[in-house]
Amino acid sequence: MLTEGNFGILTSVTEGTYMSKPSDLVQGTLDLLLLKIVALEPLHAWAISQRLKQVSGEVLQVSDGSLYPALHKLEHEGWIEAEWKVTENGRRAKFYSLTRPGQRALEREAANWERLSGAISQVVRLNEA
Amino acid sequence: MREWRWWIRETLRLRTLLRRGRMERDLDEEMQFHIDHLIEQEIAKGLSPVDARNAALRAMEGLEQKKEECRDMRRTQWIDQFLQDLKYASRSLLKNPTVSLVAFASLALGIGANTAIFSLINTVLMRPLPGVASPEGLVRLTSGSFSFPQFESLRAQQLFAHAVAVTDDQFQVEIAGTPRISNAALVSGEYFSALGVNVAHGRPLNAEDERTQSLVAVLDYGFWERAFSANPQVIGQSMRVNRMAVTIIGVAPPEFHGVVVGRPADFTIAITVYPLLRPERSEILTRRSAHWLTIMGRLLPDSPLEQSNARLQVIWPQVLAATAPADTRATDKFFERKTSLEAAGNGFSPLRRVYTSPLYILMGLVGLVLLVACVNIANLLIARGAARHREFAIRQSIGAGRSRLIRQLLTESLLLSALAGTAGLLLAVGTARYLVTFISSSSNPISLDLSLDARVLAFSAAATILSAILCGLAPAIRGSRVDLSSGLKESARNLRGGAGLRRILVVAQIALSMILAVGSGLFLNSFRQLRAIDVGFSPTGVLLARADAVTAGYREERAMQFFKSLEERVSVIPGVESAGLAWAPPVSRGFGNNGRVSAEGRPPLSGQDRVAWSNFISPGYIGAIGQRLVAGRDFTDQDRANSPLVAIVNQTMAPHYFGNENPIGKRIDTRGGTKFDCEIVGVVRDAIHFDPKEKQQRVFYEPYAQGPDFLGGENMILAVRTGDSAGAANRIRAAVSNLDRSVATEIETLQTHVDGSLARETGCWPRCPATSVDSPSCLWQSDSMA
Repeated sequence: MLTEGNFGILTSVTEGTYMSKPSDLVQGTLDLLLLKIVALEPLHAWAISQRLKQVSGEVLQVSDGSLYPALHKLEHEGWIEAEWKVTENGRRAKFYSLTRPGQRALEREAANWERLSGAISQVVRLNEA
Repeated sequence: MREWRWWIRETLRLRTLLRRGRMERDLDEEMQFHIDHLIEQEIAKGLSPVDARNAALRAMEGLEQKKEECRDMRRTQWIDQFLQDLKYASRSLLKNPTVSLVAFASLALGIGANTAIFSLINTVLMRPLPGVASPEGLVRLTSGSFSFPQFESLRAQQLFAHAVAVTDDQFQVEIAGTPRISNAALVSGEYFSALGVNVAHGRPLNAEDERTQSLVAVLDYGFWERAFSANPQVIGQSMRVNRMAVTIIGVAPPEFHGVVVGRPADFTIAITVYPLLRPERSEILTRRSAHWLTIMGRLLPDSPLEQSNARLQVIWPQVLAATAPADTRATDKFFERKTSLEAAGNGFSPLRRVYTSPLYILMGLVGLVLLVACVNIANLLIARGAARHREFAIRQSIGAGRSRLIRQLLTESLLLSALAGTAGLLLAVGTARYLVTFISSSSNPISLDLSLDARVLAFSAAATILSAILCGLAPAIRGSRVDLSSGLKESARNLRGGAGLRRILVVAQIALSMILAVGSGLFLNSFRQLRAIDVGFSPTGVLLARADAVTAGYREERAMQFFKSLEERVSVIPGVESAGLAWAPPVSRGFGNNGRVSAEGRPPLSGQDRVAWSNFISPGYIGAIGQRLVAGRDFTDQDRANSPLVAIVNQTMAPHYFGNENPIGKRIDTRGGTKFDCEIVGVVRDAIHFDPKEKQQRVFYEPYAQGPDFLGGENMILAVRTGDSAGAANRIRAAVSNLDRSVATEIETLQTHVDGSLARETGCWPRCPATSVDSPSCLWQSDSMA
C-alpha cells in the first residue's frame, strides 16, 4: 500500500480483491498518478481518465473500468474526497480533490518513487555500459 | 493528521452504511456519465450508436463487476454483505424447515451437553473462589488435616500475612421455633481478612472473637435470604445453635460461598466456640492427636510461594516438636509427616478427588457427541447443497465470487449454530443443575454455584463457532464448486465429485459413532455394574431416618432411651414390617469404628490382620435392611447391657478368625486382649461397609445396648422396612416430634442413600465425607485406631 514501506509502489493496492488488473501498469503506480492528477485541480473521473491518457501517452494503459475501483479505494482511504458539481455542459458529475492526508501521502510516495526509479535507472544504465 | 484521516474515513464509512441507496445511485450516475462520454467519443470516431454503446461497455470491462469492485472498496462492505448473507441464510433455513429443525435440535443438544459438563468442570475444578480478593495469594498446607495446637504453633511463626484454620460441621439450628440441620464453617479469627471478604451487612468475624470465644456468627447470604427473608434487622439478634444462643453479627456478600466448593456453609463461627456447641468434644482444641483442621494462609506480599514453602520446611520440624502428643516417641510416624504449600486460590473440594476424571471422561464423550452431530449436519447440508446447485450457478453468473458463496454458506451454518448455541446455553443451565441433584443426597448434600461466568460463555461461544465451521465448511466448499454451463442448464442431478466427500463424511460419522458407542458403553457399563453390585442387603422399600437427639441435648442413658422409644413407636406404625437402629448405616463412606479383635483358642494375629470394623445395632436392624442371617440368631431384647456380651460377625470375618470351624458359640475379645468375654451368636452375609470397590471388610455387630460409652453422644440411624414409604415417612416424623419437638429429622430411602454413594463412586472416596476439611464426625476413627 502507498503508506506502508518504501516498496509500496510495487504492490498492488487492490491485489486480491480485484478480479481484473490493468496489464501494463503496476497498480500502486496508478494510485500515485491519480493522486498527482487530482492534486493539480479537482476533476471528475472521465476527465481524470482523459488526463491520464493525455499525460502518459499510450504507455500507461488504464482501462476505463479499472479507474473506478481505484478512485473509490483512494476515497475510502481518506486521501481524496468527492463532491458533486455541475459541469460546463450542465450535467452533474462527481469531482475528486486531494485531502490534506492525501497531500502528505502524495509527497511521501512521490519521493519514494523518485528514489526507487532513480535507483532502478542507474542499475539499468550500469547494465548497458 | 492521522486523526483527521481517521475522521474522514469513519464518517464516510458511516455515511455509506446509513445511506446505501444514495451511494448506489451515485455510483450508477458516475459511471453512466463516463459511459455517455465514451459513447460520444466513439460516435465522433464514426461508429453507429449501437456499436458505440457496445464499444463503451467493452471499455468498462464488465460494468456490473466494476461496480461490485467499487463496492468492495467501501469499508462497510463486509457489514453489508454480512447483513445480506444473514437475510439469505434465514430465508434458506426457513425454506427447508425439517432439515433446519433436525440440525438445530442436534446442535442445541450437542452444544448444551458440552456447555453443561464444562460449567461443572469450571465450577468444581477451575474457577477461583468467587468473592475472594486476589485468590492467587491463597495457599494451603498439604495434605490432610492438622491439630489446633499445630495451627497455633504455625501461626506464631508468622509465615503468612494471615494464617487461617478451617473446618466445618453440622449443627442443629433453631430459627423461629423450627429446628433444622445446618452446615457451618468453623474458622480462626483472621478468616475474613485473609480472604479479603467484606460483609454485606454488619461486621465480619475477627481475631478478637476467636480469642474471647464469642458466640457470634456471620450468615451466608443465601441462608440469610432463606431463613431470615433477607431482613437486615437480624444483625444483633440471636439464633439457637445446638441450643446455645449465637448472636448474628454480619451477613457475607452474595457471591461468597466459603472455601469449600460444593459444600457451602450456612453460617461461619469462630473455631474456638466449637467445644461450647459440642460439649462432647470439649477437649478438641487442646487434644494434640485430633487432626481435624485445614490450614491455609495468605502469602506475605514479599514472599512468593516457593520462598514461603522453603521457610515452611525449616519451621515444620519445630512445629511438630512443639505439638507432639505426650506419649509420642522420637521414632514415631508423627515426626515423619511432611507438608508443603500448594495454591488454594480455587478453594478445596471433596468433589475434586472423586469427580475430576469422570468429568473429563464425560467432557470427552459429549465432545464426541457434538462432533458426530456436526458430521451429520454436514452431510445433510451437502445433500441440500446439491439441490441448490442451480441457485449457486445463477448467483455466480451474476457476479458472486466463490469466496462470496462460501461466506454465504458459512453464514447459514453460523446462523444455525448461533441459534442452537443460545438454546444449548439455556439447556445447559438446567442440565448442570440436574446432574448436581443426581449426585447429591440428603445425607451428603452438594450445592454448587453454577451461575454462568465469562469462561462458560466463552466456551459455549467457541463451541458454537467451531460447530458452525465443522458442519458448514465442507458443504460450503463443495456447494460453491459450480460448473456454470452445466449448472445453469440442468439442476440437481449434477453431483460429480460430491460423492467422494460424502463418502468420507459417512465413514467419519460411522467411525466417530463407533468410538462414541464403545466409550459411552464402557462408561455406562461401569456405572451399571455399580448399580448391579450385590450390596449384601435389599435396599428396596427401606427408609433411613436420622433424628438428631444429641444436638437437642440427649446424652448417655437418655439418648439411648430416646432412640429406643423412637424405635418402639415406629415399629407399631401400620405398614412397617420391621425397624431397627444402627450407629453406622450401610455404605457409610468412612463412618465407622475399628479395633483389634482376638479369638479364643486361636493363634494371635498381628498388624492389620487383627483389626476388624464394628457397628452397633438394635435387634430389628438386620431384618429391616434385609441383610441375610446365614447362621445362628439375631440379637434379641434379652441382649442387654448387663447380660453376657454377644456379637454377630460377617462372612468375611468368620473364616478369618476360625477357618473352617463353625463360628457360632466361639468367643472373642473385642478389645484385642485375652478376656474372650464375647460370644458369637450369628453370621450375616457381607454387606458393603464403606465403598463397593473396596475388598470386603471384616465387620462384626454388637448390640447397641452393649456398645461403648461414646454411643451416648452419637446419633443413631433408624432403618424402617415398609410397604408404604410416603405414609411411613410422615408418621416417623410425627413420632419424632411427639417424643420431642426440638429434635430435627431427616428421612431418605435406603436406595437413595446407596445410589448416592455409588454414583459418587470412583474407587477413591475418602475415608471422611470431606477430603480436605475433615469433618469431626470421623474423629472416632482416628481415636479408636489400633
